[in-house]
Amino acid sequence: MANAGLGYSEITDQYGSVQVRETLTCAHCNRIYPKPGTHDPVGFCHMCFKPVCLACGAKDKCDPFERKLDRLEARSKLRAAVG
Amino acid sequence: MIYAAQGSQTVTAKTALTLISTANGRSRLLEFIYSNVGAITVDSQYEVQLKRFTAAGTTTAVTPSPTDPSDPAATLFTAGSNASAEPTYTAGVIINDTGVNPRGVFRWTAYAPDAEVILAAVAASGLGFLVATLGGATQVIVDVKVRQ
Repeated sequence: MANAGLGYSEITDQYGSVQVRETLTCAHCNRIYPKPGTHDPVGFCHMCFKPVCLACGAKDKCDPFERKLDRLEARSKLRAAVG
Repeated sequence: MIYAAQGSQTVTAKTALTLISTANGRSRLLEFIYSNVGAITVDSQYEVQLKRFTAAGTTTAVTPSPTDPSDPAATLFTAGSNASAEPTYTAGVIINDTGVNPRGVFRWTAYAPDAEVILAAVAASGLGFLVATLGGATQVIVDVKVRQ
């Protein structure tokens, strides 16, 4: 669980120095955002036990992104079937 | 299987690279790299927005190449570069918005599988890399790795 949603961004400048920052991917909306620092507000879903962005955290419900995709794909298949 | 695809853009508010889904399954974006080629005009950042779209627009077709040469061609997505007609982006949804100095390189990589950006299995929908501001860049290159 410690690595849930974890990614990293890396900026290499023209002199070759590299700055690395860890990122998180929201489990509810799939947005990539910088990993909050120790004293920053943190979004976390206690239902799916994954990091979420503050906007999704404020919604106070668990709606994982893959479940949203299930609904989206089902709607698309239905539209295709109806014509 | 992991596939690489590259796109480029020289114009503001145009898309450099699109990843276009098929209805066959979900592919996942593992990594993207932004860089600039050509002489830098001013020392000002360019901005790339990663967004979802519902209609693919018109682009120059890019064939995703498997990183392992023994892998078959990609079946879950196609790619396109240098949009001449923009995709229909989902309003208000920006997955990532990054300003990059044209003298530098930006790279994002997913550490964990649940950090990957998922493409819906809906035909003609997908992800686009929109060069929102060109800044001092002359030709923005977007290089991605996608897993299917």
